[in-house]
Amino acid sequence: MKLLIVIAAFALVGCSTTVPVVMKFPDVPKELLEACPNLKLADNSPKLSAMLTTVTQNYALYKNCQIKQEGWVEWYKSQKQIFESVK
Amino acid sequence: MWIVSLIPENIFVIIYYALVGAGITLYIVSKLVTWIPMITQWKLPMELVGVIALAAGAYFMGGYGVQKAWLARVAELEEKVKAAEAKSAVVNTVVQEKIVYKTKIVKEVQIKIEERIKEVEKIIDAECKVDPVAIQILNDAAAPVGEAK
Repeated sequence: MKLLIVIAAFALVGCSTTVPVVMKFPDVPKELLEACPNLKLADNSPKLSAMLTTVTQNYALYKNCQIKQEGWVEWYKSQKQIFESVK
Repeated sequence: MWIVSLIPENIFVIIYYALVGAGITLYIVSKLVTWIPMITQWKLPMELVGVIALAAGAYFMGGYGVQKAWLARVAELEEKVKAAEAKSAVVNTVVQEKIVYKTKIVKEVQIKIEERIKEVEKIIDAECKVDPVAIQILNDAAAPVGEAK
């Protein structure tokens, strides 16, 4: 029995194999790591033009944030596809 | 153990084949010695050594084959990882360029919009005066929510 255990242990040594290949986690473009800023607040001016300017500035902030979000989605989908191709 | 890796691979292959060859030969010879009375007493040791050599040789040859297959797999994966990392860098550049381009367009459009507001500023402000309550409501809507205090 002891001999069998020794033989089995000897034989199984050949089965332990590790593959030392790891893929580096991809870097994210620095633009995507910037947080979306808070919306601008209107000043207390009673002028409609001032208020309109603030609103349009906030639209621009939203659009920039939308661009980043789209960038994240595109980045994730592409990187996932690349990662899955390594198998 | 690393010192073993310094020995050329071919030497091991030769040893494995030699072990298998010797094992088979010894085993066959052990079966034939019954006809030669002078060396009959070597029959059992020859058979034993033959079987052990054959088993060890087969084991090491199998191990070598598996090792070779794994090394090939590692090399293949390394190639794929290298190619994937290159592709990944390209994707980053593409995404980065798109963001920079679109952000630039948004900025340009915003400048044009602000210019247009300035052009008609007097008309807009002459027609309408905003109540401070409206500004307060707008600011309340724009104020950040859910941020840690």
